[in-house]
Amino acid sequence: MSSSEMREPTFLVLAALADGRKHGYAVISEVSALSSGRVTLRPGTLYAALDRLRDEGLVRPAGEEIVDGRLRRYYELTDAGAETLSTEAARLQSNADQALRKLRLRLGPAAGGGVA
Amino acid sequence: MSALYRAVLKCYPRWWRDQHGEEALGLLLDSAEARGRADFRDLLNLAAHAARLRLTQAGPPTLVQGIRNRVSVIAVALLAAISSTFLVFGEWAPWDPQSSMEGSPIGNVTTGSIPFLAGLLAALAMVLGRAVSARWLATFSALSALAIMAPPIEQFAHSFGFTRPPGGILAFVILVSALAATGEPVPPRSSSRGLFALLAAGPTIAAMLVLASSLGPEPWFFYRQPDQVSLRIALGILLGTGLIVLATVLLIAGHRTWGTALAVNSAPWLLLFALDPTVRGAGAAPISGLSLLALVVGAALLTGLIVVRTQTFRRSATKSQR
Repeated sequence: MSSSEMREPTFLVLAALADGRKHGYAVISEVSALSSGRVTLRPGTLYAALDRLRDEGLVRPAGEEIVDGRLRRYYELTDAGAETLSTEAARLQSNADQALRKLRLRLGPAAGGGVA
Repeated sequence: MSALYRAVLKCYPRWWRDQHGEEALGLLLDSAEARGRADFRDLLNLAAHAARLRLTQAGPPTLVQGIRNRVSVIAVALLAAISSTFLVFGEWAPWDPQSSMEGSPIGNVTTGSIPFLAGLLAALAMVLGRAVSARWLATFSALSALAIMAPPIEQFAHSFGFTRPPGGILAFVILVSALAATGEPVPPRSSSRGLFALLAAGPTIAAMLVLASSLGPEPWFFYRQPDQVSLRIALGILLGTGLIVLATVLLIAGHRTWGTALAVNSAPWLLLFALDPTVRGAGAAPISGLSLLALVVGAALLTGLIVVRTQTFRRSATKSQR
């Protein structure tokens, strides 16, 4: 997957797993927290993303446990997944920095013009 | 609530439910517990995802797409070896002052340069991570090899002084190129591209060294010389046997997708048994080449079946323990 093709939910799923392994519901909760409630992952969307990321070698299963009679399967980032997330985060940060720099340039002369 | 979720999960194909069914049920129950009620948007989302899977995927992605992509990765590496060998020894051959094909206007070049060059470019595209381009180039290699064998195109090229390599070589290139085009030849991890470049280069370098060492002082007609034909067939059989042995080892080790992909890729090479004059002449021998081949393939299949059955048994045992 080239970094320019990564969609926001995919990026958020990888980001949710960045600090350690998580099970499905924990990933959904973390994605909601990371996006300040703006992105709500549904179960079908989550499993489609996890299957795709696993096929691409970015995510792998990391154990299972039974809690209250419910199966929880954990997922974690692979090294390739961490590298992809890091590259994508750097790309987004660079874009955001550029946008902010241009906004500052735009606001600067406008403020000066108002005084003159 | 659990019964409702189970009913919705029935929309999914069985292979998906085997992989994710219990896990998805746990997630839905966790989610409902946190909200204090079932969310029907979750159920609709699951139903839509299940419908999409049923329409687009016949089986688990690891067994269908995974195997196809790995078949493609190995076939592109082998295509690189074949293409570069024939480009250097057949089409270029600077040590051969006489044209190896009659009347070629550019050195020894034939119309075979087109599929061979496309095959080499496919390998380059794979190493650069351009899987889609690699697939298209492999397809072009197969189609162009097929096209230059068509009598009208052959006659057209001949009118400009270009001949074509023997049909057997082109048919072989078509088989390997077609395997390369069955999937997207993308190495599973981007960090492994160096390793795959080495894997693609390995057979190429080995083929070059073996063929270069067989060069004699006589003018060398690569496409015509009977001794060289036998040598190439023997090398092909050796490689095919090596691939099937490696496939067996991988199946024993539990690497089903790579093992199957290697076994598929050994098929064109093992077909060369049928062309080997030593095998054809040994009809009365107790173990001929073909029966040896059947034994090796049978052993690989048997091993694969045992591995699959063992894994299924382990999975059922784990489930029953829960």
